[in-house]
Amino acid sequence: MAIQSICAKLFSGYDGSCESPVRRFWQQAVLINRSDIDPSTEVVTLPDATADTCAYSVSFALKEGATGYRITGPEAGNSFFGGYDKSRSDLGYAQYIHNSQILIAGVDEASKCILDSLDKGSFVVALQLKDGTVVIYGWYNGLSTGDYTYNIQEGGGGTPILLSSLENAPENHLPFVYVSATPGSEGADFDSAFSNIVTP
Amino acid sequence: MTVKELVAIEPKKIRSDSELMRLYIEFYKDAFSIEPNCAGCTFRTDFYKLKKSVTSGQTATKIIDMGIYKLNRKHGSDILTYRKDKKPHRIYGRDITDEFAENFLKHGTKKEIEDREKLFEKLPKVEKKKEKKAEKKSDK
Repeated sequence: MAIQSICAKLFSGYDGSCESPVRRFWQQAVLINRSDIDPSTEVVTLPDATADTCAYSVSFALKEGATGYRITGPEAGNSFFGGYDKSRSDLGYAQYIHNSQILIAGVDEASKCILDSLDKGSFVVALQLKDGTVVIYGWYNGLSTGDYTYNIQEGGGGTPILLSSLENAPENHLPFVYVSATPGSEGADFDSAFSNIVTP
Repeated sequence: MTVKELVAIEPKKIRSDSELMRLYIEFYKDAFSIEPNCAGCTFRTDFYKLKKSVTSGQTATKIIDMGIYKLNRKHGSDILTYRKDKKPHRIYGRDITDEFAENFLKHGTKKEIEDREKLFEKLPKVEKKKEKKAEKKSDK
């Protein structure tokens, strides 16, 4: 029998028999310019099959003077969510297209500036689930806007905008769970948009 | 505080103090594996039940850390932030730990720390140590 790869080994089970899993996101997202993340603070932790330890997280801080930017929608709506599409490359590697949907509305200069940046740039997106878990999408390769139609009259004033990994630059990993430098403070960091701005 | 110390306090004082009531419920649950359904309603009988259990030696002594720092309750929903090595460290006031509080009152400008101290109801007693140091210096 051939030797199984360590990274392909299952080492824990899952018990979904009792409680219904979380199924909804808070209707807000924090968008982060990839260049604002301080590389010296990045820590990605993956499963270690040799030690039978499960981890799938990322910890980071932004550079001094930088902040994430919060996009918010009505809490009763369903515009904000995250997910991923899994496929396999020609070489057999698993690859993941990360997706995050947000809501942008209006035709003023402020909303046009946001849309212009989203269309041209590549961003890391943080979303928070109702159980408090913060999930990071597009960590390595970033997310960009796909094709969309912006029609405020037909769309009730705004349009859901889907940010996705580029087809030719999918992620090699699932979306990471965010872990704060201060244990248990993931919610506080998300609520502060991961800001590292010093207030005078 | 240990459960022996708690049951030595006058029941009226425990009943009127939310912090002591919280400790009482914790010790009660520890001793009998169940929380009182209505802690205030059955306090009198339950308290004497706990006291009897402790004095007869049936309940093991447990120490609950009351915390060195106590944040004013009205700041429970505030996000407290300090910066160390140019990186922010945050926590919601309601989740604050002694370790975070110590760093919160250590890393910052003099003005920031003075303002932060005002957020707390209880701080470690450093004044007596300062007085003792001053006394030692004057003795010399």
